[in-house]
Amino acid sequence: VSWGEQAPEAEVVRALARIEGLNPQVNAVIETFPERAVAAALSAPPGRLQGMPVVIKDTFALPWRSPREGMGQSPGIVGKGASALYRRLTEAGAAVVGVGNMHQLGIGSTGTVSHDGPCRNPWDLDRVPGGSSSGPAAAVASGMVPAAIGTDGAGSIRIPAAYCGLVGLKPTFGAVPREGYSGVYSTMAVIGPLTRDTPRCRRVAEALVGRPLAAPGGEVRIGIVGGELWDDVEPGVASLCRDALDALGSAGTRVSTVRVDHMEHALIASVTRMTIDRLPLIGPDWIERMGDDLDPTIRGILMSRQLVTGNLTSRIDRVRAALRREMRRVFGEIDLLAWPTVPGVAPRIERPVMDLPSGKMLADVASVRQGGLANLTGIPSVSVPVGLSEGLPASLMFHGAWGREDLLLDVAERLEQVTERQHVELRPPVVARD
Amino acid sequence: MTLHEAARWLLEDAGFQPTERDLAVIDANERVFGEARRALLAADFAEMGIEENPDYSREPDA
Repeated sequence: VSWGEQAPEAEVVRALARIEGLNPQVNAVIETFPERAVAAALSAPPGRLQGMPVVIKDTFALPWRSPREGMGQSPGIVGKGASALYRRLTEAGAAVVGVGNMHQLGIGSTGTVSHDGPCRNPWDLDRVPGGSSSGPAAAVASGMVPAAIGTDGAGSIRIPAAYCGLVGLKPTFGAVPREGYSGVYSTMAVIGPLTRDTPRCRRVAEALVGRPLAAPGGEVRIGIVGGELWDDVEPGVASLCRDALDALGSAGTRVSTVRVDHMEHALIASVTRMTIDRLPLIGPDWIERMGDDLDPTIRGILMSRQLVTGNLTSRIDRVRAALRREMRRVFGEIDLLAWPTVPGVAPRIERPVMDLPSGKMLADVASVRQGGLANLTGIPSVSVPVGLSEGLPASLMFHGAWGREDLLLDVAERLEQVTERQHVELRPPVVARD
Repeated sequence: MTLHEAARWLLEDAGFQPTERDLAVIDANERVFGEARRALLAADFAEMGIEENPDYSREPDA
């Protein structure tokens, strides 16, 4: 999707027309704001995102709207108002044209459970787009908008980025202010961009974090971790990820194997920590008030979360501390860690399961296994497309030390350059053509 | 006491009204994560401390 060719208001009008044309198939955007967006474009300051139409996940307060988080009514965590994200976007000149669909309450990685109906993957409408930032990803992949904003508590930006063939950045914990975000209580969740390529991701990310993200260059040491993160992956996806690392070898990077202890507990620690963070908000009265608006499975998951024991909670915090120390040690030896973002391509909506070398695994579990470490430890992470496996996007994920979004984006851009942008220029069957 | 009975008792004691569907999801959750949970509960954490002042936006203190 081009951007910056026309006057800001014309860019916004074009995005709204694309949403109107494509959304009946993809169901990425649940509400648009034509008058407000055009007005925002007309008064857009000459910032880094001047006139950029963006879709934001339905987790942010807007001055005229409370977020619904995939429900029919607002769950009541934040009300209307100018969230910090809204302020950063508008100060940079962007126009919020609409709100993106999402997996209800962010409890799921497929994007198929929502009051507004399942969001669909533009690469194959029978497949999941990934989630929970499903609508933002599908909106960018289908070319409705040049950029979207998601949130990531256990992979919720990077998973849909991978399934939809996009660049998705999970910044360092706390790098983007969370006032007015419904996940403000979380010790895991962050706000970040989804775009088609790295230069645009960098541009949006700089507006969100409020500082330049240019790395100094030089050799980058990349570590790969043995075990299931690479081995329990669909062969086609693993092969494309290895090819990408090989390609980076000619672009000033050096790859070696590194050891990370305690990884065997990272999945359960990520899942359970995410659970605990939300618990104070979920009481009997709230469940009663939400009534049938809660999807029955989401309601059951919320009930199961009430049963987390104190013993487990205290052990999870020890695992978290240990993994954070491991990351400090590892990033003293190498610069980035790399493994496939998700271990398979986007599964079918009616059967969100992956067939992995170890056997069948729920896509939710498989995805969080790959992505949860970054949320648990606070480190930044980026997912970048590396080609198509059986006609569907595959992606590689890099993790960096705290605050090193610049290095992540630098290596992602090097990969685009050495592969002559062939992966980021791929387009899905359902895409804006005008 | 079965898992369902224990879950129902704990939830009702906390003021929730679990449905049969809720209990089925709890069952499924146990099937998916039970083994990892038990492994974590069985792990030896005697040497593993916690952070004094955790700040997830930066690396931990030495």
